[in-house]
Amino acid sequence: MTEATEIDTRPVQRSRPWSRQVLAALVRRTGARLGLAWIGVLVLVATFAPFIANTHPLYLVVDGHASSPALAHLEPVDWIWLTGFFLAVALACVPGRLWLRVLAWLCGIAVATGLAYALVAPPVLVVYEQYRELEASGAVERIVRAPIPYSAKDYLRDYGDTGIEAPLAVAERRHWLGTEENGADVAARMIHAARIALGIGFIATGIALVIGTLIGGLMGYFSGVVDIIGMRLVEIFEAIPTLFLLLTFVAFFGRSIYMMMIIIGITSWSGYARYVRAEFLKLREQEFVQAAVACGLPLPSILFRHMLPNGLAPLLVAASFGVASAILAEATLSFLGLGLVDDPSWGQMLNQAVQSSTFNWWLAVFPGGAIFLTVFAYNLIGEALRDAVDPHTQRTMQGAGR
Amino acid sequence: MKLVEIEDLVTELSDGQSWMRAVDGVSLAVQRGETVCLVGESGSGKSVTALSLMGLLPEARHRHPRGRIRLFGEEGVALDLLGAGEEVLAQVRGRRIGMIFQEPMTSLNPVLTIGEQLDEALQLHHPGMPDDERAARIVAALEEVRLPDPQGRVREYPHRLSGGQRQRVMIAMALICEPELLIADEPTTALDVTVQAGILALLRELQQRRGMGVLFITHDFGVVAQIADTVGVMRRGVLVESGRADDVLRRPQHEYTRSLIAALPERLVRSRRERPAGQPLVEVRDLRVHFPVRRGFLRRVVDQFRAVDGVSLSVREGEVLALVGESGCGKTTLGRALLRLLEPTAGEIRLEGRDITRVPQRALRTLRRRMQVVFQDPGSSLNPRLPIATTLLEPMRVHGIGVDDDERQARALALLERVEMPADSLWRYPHEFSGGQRQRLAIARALVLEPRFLLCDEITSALDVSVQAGILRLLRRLVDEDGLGLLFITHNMGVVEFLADRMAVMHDGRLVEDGITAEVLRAPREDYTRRLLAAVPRLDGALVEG
Repeated sequence: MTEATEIDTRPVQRSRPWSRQVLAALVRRTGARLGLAWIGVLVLVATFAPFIANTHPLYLVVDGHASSPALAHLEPVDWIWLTGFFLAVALACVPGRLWLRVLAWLCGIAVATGLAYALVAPPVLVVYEQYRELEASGAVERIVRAPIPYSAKDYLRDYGDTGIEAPLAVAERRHWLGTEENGADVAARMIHAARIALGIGFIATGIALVIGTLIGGLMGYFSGVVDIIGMRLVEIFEAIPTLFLLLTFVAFFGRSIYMMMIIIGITSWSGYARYVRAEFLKLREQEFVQAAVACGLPLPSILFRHMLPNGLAPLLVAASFGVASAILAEATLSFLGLGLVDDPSWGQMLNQAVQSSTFNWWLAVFPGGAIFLTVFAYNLIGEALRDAVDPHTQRTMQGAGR
Repeated sequence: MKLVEIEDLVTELSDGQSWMRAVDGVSLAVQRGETVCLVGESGSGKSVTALSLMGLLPEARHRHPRGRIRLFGEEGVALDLLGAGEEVLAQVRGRRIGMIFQEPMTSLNPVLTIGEQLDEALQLHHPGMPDDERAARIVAALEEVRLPDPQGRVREYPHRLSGGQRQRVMIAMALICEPELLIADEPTTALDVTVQAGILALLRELQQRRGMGVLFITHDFGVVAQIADTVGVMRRGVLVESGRADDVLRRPQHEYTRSLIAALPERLVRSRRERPAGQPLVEVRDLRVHFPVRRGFLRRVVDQFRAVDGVSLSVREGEVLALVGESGCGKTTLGRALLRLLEPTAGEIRLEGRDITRVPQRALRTLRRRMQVVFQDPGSSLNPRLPIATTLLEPMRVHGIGVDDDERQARALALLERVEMPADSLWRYPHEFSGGQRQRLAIARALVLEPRFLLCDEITSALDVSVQAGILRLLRRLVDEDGLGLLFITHNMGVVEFLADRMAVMHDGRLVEDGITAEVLRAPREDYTRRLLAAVPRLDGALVEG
């Protein structure tokens, strides 16, 4: 602690904020790189699913009339994913505060959702067979198909009662990963199911984070009666079995992916609340928080500017593990046959692997592998994040010298 | 007779990527029956030297490119310690070399009784000793370090003991196998002065009785003057000066030693000051802060802990009042209550004549401009996630100082210049600054609101003397120039002597004595003040020069 009194004559240079440092430390770790790479691939696949696996051709010329059935059949959800993706890319290039950009992104998504459901009206009746029939009749002059020319819900009725098929079993149609019990292409369904896996992880964890941070923060800062009431609330929510609640809601209100996200979210915030409370109890006594109080700063500034960013580290780590467990919860539910009916999901495909009289390995290996890899990726990121935000590992890397 | 000889020791530590030289060519010897003090500021390599001697540096993170450490036995047989195997070192540690660490609160195992911890060392080094002999020896060892009721203490857990008592247990533990050499690494730094005086006297006595060699590491020249036969002064890994204690302290040869001694707060040059006669800025009348003591299932209040028990004091404009006392006397609680960071139980606080004892927190916010605070710990006094600019500008924005951010930034820059910090500090984060610089920034944050009253709670106690000297001069200048009222909480009498116009002594929540600094230091009226002052280790006997 020797004091440097010489004055820097270099031009004013801004130091990297903490978030950048954590990000840099995170990206340095191999585990985090692998995890982020897999999540990145999933995001790309989920965003561009209609262009990767689609029965509707990307570009079609019939009788000199050019069209893009794939674009015409894009549903509101597809548009939301696409705008969300491009908005995120655009905002990543724009300078500014991180939380402002996140807020802008969320607003953009909200606007896009409204617009998509108001404006986008794809044809209600979808006839998948028409393109194959057109092609067979020789009317097609030019056709560009998606890499996997099957939609998730294209049950290939025109081929008769197709049913379950092993990968590459039938020469005339190439199913790289085989088909499921209704005859739909497994690869196409898995690609579309990536959306559910990503969405449920992020939204459920997001809901839990917001509730947990608010309640935990209030408990930690005010303590006393607020703390006692808050902790009882935490205990009540910890006593609710998530799966049982989900089963009940499914039984009463039918199946909805959004309901699942909300239920997983509002039953898993208690852990985050505990973390935030513990951090805030510790931070409240810290001298810079006391100094902020002594400066007469308003309460929101003390809570959200001086305390929350300092207590965020364990929360981030817990959240990345939370995403993994939300994905597993959805997979479990779908495996039990209580997930979505028609929409594809990895857990539901696993269920089909054991439903028929034979064990269909391709329905177990590929979706199971995808679930494993995704959960593993989030755990890797969580692990690396824990190292990156932990001052002790940082310090040992810098070496201790007294 | 030579006991330990360190020759040209070089220790390098690794941070995983590069090697940093912590000790650079240190040579020194400890004779039997002699106390050698290693003095230096933090980071000077004095602790690393001791750890090299014990072979306690982290495996694979240190190396010794040069050097030799030899431990001489009774018959003159030398044992090479540097590079010796774990088995050899295990035989030496505890048995021939004992060690005491700085932090008494963490150096004892909290889940074992004191007897068990002492017994472990005995069992290890004297496997054949019968149980009753060991038990007798443990009690004798505790008796030797003058722990009250040694019979009963054997079965106690460390948390039942005070800091000073724990340090006595640590000494008993280090001495139970009758080592030839005792290494004490800042053993009294965490203790109060009166406790420190007792421990130093004990160490001195034990050493003379047993003829041990002692290697004593400290940063405090007062302690050196009390205990050392020979002194080595270290700076950045190099032993810059060594010699007999009297010579080094009275006639330092090396410039660094001279500058260190000159930076001692009691040696700092004081300017003649007028008796401040301004208006009372802050007045406290009969302030009480009690904390309820709750027990039992229903958490009933069974008693009140009287942290501050009826204190009255006042601080005038342009005056520094030092509040002195040992740890736990309630001085920090008093400070926090005075700023209404804690709710006082009873009494009255007046700020510029206005009673603020019961003003609601919301209305208090605007008044907070007038009174600011700087805290003790440079590690946590600034928000680590915010750049200095935000820390300085936000309070101004909230209180409506300055028209826009440009003007506020200009004010912040001017203030940084006043606290002698470079302008580009604005865009840096707290972790990029040293402890002294952080305290300067914390002072800047307090001054940003143009307060009339400033509370400084032990703000220099974690800093090296040379850094402390800079901060003390800065504070005195701020008070003299702006006419601030300053309440300076400290336990360091040298600081009081340099900085304070008046001083108040606190003990067990009560104000024992107050008055003009020089008068109190020269002729204390109360017993407690006298004891406190007598315990302060000093370079030179006189309290007030001239």
